[in-house]
Amino acid sequence: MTPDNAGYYHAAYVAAAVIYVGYAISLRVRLRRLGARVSQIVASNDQA
Amino acid sequence: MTDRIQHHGVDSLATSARGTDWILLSGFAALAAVYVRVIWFTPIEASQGSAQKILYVHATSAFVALYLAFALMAVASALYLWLRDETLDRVAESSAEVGLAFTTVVLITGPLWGKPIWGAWWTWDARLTATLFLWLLILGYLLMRGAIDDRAMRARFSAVLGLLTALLIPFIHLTVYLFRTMHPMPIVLKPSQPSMPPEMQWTFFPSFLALTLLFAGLLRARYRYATLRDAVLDMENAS
Repeated sequence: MTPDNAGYYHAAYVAAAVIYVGYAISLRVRLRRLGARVSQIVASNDQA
Repeated sequence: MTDRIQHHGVDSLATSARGTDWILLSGFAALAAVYVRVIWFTPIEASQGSAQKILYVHATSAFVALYLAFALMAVASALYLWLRDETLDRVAESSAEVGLAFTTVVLITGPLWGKPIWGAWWTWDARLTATLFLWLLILGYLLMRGAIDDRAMRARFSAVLGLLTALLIPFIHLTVYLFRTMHPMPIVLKPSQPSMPPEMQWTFFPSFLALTLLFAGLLRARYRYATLRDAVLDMENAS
């Protein structure tokens, strides 16, 4: 008889999606922060 | 004048980094398609039940981490030691971090497969322990990078550690042959034909391709981040 263990399989796929999407979002956030920093530096240099 | 040109280059780099990353989006779209294929169009294996479907995200993530991410880290590290090109250091750093994300998936999905099949979340056998050790070494590699300010020294130390860490890759592959382990033998990466029915292969190989595309997208985004970060540091040091 085929065992009923779908919960583990669902948990694994949810965990994988959370890690991959979470990592991509963290990269996006870090890039945006750097982009903001660049704009700040360029603006301050233009003023000077 | 030189400063202005440099600022313009960094500014355009920052602007391009804010744009839509089509490779990354394609990777996620491909992964979503694989999820649909796994959930609705892939048969349930009779003896293991639904838990066997964890294979399509566990083994494929392991392939990408070991044979793409950490292999690329090793090659870039070796080339850095030879050519001393900062681009190679950034490739190695980016590949290591993305590989760490993939290995994290491997280390989480593995126990979720092991519990219903072996009756235990974890066993300290050679394959599992070596993979955990690799994860810790890569984490140490990234932490070490954050602790060294001098860029040339950081790149040199990282390249050596990256190369030494990569020695674990063939060892991890061979653990199931060299030691008595609960981890199953390879069903795809072996000299003979894959021991998997065609309908499962039609899920397994697209899953590997989707994760490879996702890896390429994440690596590109991480490399952009590293390039922009170094450029910003150069600008800050110059002003």
